[in-house]
Amino acid sequence: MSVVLLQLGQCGNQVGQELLELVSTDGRNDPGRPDSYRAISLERFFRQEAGTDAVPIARAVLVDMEPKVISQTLAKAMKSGQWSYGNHSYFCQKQGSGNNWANGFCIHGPRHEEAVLDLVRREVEQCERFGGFIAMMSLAGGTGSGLGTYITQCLRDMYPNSFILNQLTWPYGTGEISFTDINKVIAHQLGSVLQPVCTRWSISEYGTNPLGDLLESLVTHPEYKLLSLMNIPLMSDKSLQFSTFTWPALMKNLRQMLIANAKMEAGIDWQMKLPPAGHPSVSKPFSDRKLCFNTSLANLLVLRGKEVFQADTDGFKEQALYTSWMPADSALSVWRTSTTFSKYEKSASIVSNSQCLQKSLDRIVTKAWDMFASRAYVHQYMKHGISEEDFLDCFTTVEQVIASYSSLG
Amino acid sequence: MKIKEAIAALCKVLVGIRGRDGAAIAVNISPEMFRKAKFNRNEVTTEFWKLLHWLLKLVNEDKPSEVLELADQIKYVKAVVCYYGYGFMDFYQLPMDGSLGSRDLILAFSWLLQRIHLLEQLLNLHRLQVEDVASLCMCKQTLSFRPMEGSDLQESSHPVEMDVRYLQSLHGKLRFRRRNLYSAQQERCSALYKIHLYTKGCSSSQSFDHLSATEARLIQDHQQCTEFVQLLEHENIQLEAYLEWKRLEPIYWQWMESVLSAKLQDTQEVLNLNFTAVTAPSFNRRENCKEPDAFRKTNKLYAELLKLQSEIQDRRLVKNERIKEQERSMGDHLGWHEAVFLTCNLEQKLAAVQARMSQERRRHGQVRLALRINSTLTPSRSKPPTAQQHISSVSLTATEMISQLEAEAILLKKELQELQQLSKEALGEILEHLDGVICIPPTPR
Repeated sequence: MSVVLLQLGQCGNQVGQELLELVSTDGRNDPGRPDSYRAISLERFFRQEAGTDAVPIARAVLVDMEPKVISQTLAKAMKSGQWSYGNHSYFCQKQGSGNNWANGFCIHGPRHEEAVLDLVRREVEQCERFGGFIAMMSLAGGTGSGLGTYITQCLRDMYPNSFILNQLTWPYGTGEISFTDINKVIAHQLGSVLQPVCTRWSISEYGTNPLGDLLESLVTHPEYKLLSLMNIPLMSDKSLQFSTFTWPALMKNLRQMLIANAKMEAGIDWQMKLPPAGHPSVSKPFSDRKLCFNTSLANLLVLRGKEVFQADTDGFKEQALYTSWMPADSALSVWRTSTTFSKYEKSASIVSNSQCLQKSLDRIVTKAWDMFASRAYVHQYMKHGISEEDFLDCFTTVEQVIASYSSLG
Repeated sequence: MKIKEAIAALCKVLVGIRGRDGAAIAVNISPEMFRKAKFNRNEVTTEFWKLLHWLLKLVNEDKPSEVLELADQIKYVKAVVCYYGYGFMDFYQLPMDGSLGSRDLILAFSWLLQRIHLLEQLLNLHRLQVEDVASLCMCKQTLSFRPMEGSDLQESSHPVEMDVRYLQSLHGKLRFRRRNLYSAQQERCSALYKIHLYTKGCSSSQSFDHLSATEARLIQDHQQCTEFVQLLEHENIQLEAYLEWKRLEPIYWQWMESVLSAKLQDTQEVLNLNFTAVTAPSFNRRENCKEPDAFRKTNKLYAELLKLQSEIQDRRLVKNERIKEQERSMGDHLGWHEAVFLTCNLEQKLAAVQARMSQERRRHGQVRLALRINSTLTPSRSKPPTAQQHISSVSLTATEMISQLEAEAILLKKELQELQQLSKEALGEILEHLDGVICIPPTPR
């Protein structure tokens, strides 16, 4: 099934381009790859135009209010020579959104709705088997977040039965970072989940419905829709040639990353432990850090590489990892394929619907509430049409989400 | 003895029948078996039980049958035969170890043969099809829901306590899977449309001028084609055996009459030994057996139905009389134009009622998909896979179906809204009695 990418805003466009680049390279890489892997990967993200010389065209729609990022993205794709974007698959304006969500949502959204949705419609019609949307955006900024929200709403109205996955990039806290590197990492993580893999419906054939299967395993409850993504191993090319990996080690590290809510393999808190089996699950007191582990609602493991069928995933099946009302059997899904992914001989990812994001959300909401209470920057939003009521509604919704997640364990 | 030929033909048909996994009948049937059964010989009883079990299991479930104990097989057969309405009490009293009663078994078998068209159903089971079919179901009835009793919950070995949030997540899973199914169906539809469109003018059939998906596949893949031809040949042989049986069938029934009279004779002798009364006994009224409740109820309902029918007829007669009187009286006062106007009005109303009736007719079953010249997808009825020979030659267009289904959807949506309103009001009433409770609506999807 084919997936349509919506690249919204600067971050969305850059991450999207990296993802497509990664997928294209991975699909072509090593001639030992099974043909079906390449064919499915190609069909999923690209379409072939008529003509023998044509490169595959990405199933993507690029949207930004400034022309700079889009032209950069288009150029980069063209330069690779292996794929490109469609000639008319982008929409941009002259003036940006000024990092203002309200500008994106209330002004640019309705104004450019038709044009953007027209592009989307054309892309969907080109899909023989349409498998859903991936909307990529950042949470900061104006276009990605504001316009992105508006477009997502329109998509849901236009295609009520489709699968929509919003890929959100969290803004960095402090300091300087290199965007290109981070974008590559994010793309790598996404690619490790979206490339062809055998889902649980069949052990020998690749699953054909990536978004549908993903969402069905993880997002079954309407109150819990936040997923986080972790992938190991992640190391530079130079170190890669000197490292070997074993499945038990990878599984152990990944499990601890999940429990301790670590973003990277380095600096995992090994002190965090689950309550020993058999003891009644106690409500976690704030003082005792050992018990503040990350409770999950559902987890999806995607394992790729050699000897993948010997990987032991029992560590993820413990009931203590999961909330009290979700049996571990239905909470855990494991997808495997022996095809390697992007130079890593073994690679493991976990997509987790758990309390990972709860603390960050909490922090942000506290800050936002302080700012709102002192009316800082509020007029910037109000001049574009957001009222105080809307603000309060949003706060309520986010608090509800935080409350739901904290009630998990 | 022509009867041996007839039974041999029947055996040939039965032997050729295959289950879904290709399993053939495991019992050794032969005319000898039937002959022994007529004389109520006990050595063939188990064979007959197994035969009946296999046939009935195929007809009803078409699942690969697990190997069951003889007692279980006997229980199953008795249950199914009772369901079909076999009223001969002797059959149900046969012992569970399969030692007696081969004659009763052969009587039951022949009854099934005629009553539920057993052979026709079996032959219909795995008919080869090349058409593209879609299933259509407009049944209003939903699955019956039996609320779980307390004991069920305790006995279920669930690792965690049942929580409403788990149910919500299961419901969510169902929604996603339904969406997956929907997209797969859409894909199938567009693929079929392409095939039909591209193969226009290829078929030699009179009514359809394009190939179906299976036909196109067979043309491409030589191996599958030869396999398919082999399957067709096998089906052909079966049908020839069936025709042969049909030719000799009357002899079989004559022979069955002799079996029946033999049975009656024996029963009478038994009764003559037991009862010294002079009254002629009928074997349906034995005092040492109880008629199952089901039969008693059916008899009662049947009697009531007859009564209602006669009542309706009486009322209709009275009404006809009254109408005739009215017409006569009207013919004196009103002119001819009024009478015509009334008839027109009546015709319109009748047309409207008929239209509604045809809409109300709940469709259910398989339809064949075919593309018509004016390039609209036209589903038309194929022979429904039942043993009855009703051939409904109704063909409908996809647009008609779509409009009917849309109308149905609107009605259902209205019903849903009404039900939601009712439950909202009920919830409101409950909330009035609770103090200090604030309700937060769930996040909109």
